[in-house]
Amino acid sequence: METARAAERLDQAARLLPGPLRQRVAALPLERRAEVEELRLRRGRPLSFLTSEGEIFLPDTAVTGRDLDTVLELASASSVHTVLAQVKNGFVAVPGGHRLGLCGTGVVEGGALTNLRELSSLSLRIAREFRGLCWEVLPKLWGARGLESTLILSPPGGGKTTLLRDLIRAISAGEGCPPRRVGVADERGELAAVANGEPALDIGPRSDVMSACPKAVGMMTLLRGMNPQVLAVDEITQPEDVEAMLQAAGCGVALLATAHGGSLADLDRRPLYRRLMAQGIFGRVVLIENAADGRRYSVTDGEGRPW
Amino acid sequence: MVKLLGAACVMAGALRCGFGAVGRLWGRLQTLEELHAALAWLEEELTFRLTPLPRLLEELGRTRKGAAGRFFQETLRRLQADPEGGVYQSWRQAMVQCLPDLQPEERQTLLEVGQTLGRFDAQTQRQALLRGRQRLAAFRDEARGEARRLGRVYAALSLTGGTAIILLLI
Repeated sequence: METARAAERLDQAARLLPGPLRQRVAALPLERRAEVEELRLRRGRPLSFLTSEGEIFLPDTAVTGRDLDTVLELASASSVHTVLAQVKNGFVAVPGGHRLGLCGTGVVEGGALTNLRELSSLSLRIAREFRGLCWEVLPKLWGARGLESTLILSPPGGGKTTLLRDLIRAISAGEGCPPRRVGVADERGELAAVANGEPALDIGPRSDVMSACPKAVGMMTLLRGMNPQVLAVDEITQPEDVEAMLQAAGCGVALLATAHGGSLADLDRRPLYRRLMAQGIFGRVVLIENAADGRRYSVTDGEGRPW
Repeated sequence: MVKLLGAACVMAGALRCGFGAVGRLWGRLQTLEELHAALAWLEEELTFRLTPLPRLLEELGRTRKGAAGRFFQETLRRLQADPEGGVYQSWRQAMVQCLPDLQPEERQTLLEVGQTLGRFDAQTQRQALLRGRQRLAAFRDEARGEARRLGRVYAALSLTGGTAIILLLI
């Protein structure tokens, strides 16, 4: 069942590919399709996909510049102008919660990347749902005060968002824990993929989503209006995000957040996170490591002691 | 009585020919006016709101009159039926179907606009829309002059032509 669902997610994302490439992806065996984490298109090279085993190329599938343009046109619903403004993020969120990373010749104005022309490669990261993925870590996130504020750490592509989404779902549904109202600040639409006001991805029955607005604004709006018991936010990158988290923590709300990093020491080297960690907000840290036999999750307290 | 009836038929036929031609002239002018207004509106939307193209086409299909409105509706229908084909293909096919009365250079202008729509950043699209709009304005002014000038000629010709045929037959 999970395999079929995972393959279905890939098929949904692959609808953005031009016909011949889409057919090659669709021809992969179901088990293989369920494993795909990312599709990669590079001009003049074969289409490839990423699994936990590494990057695998599909022979005889030379990607053309027209193919790249078509993907962007389909991803933007024939409105490239609406997504090019997002290139400063380095990627574009597409319907279904998938993420389209863009690479090409940058147009820089005032020192900031404002546009892209002549696409050279694209990466289509599949939004994945793994129900029960969080069961291994969830019991360790509860302490004497209830749910501890938790930071999920991994290098890019490590599965932080997937784990966070499943934690939101389980906590909101009261799966293996008391149910909680979860406010989700989903700036890029990757956690819930809200379409027409309804989440396309399962984030549980007690979750409220603020999407398409800056994380800090979303968090404060949820705090004021939705009375959340837990606030979830993906990828803290801005000082404003940290400020909003500090305020939320001061209101007695448990936080669930993700950040890029391979260890707590990595965070310590970045001023943005140093401040956040120094406040002792996070009672738990979940580290995700990619191993040959799959992903490993280890839980520590905020000081790095194994839990 | 039969002669009178025949004369009426001849006159009606002549007037129909003449005023049909006049109607086509004014119809073309109306289409150009509507297309010009549509491009101006698209330009504004892309400047201030970055609205997605399908929504713009939907709005234009609803608000623009006559052949221009049908053209935008058809472009949207084709785009939704075959998104992979892209905007340009839908635009081109809809143009052939809905705007057959346009002159070759007017068609070329619209095709050039269609080549950029939805495929580039807002600024590039705005530039193409501006160029297209300026050219359409020139075509529209020309069509207006032509409609006034030739309209009178066609109307007079149909009337005098019809009368001449009747006199010859009687």
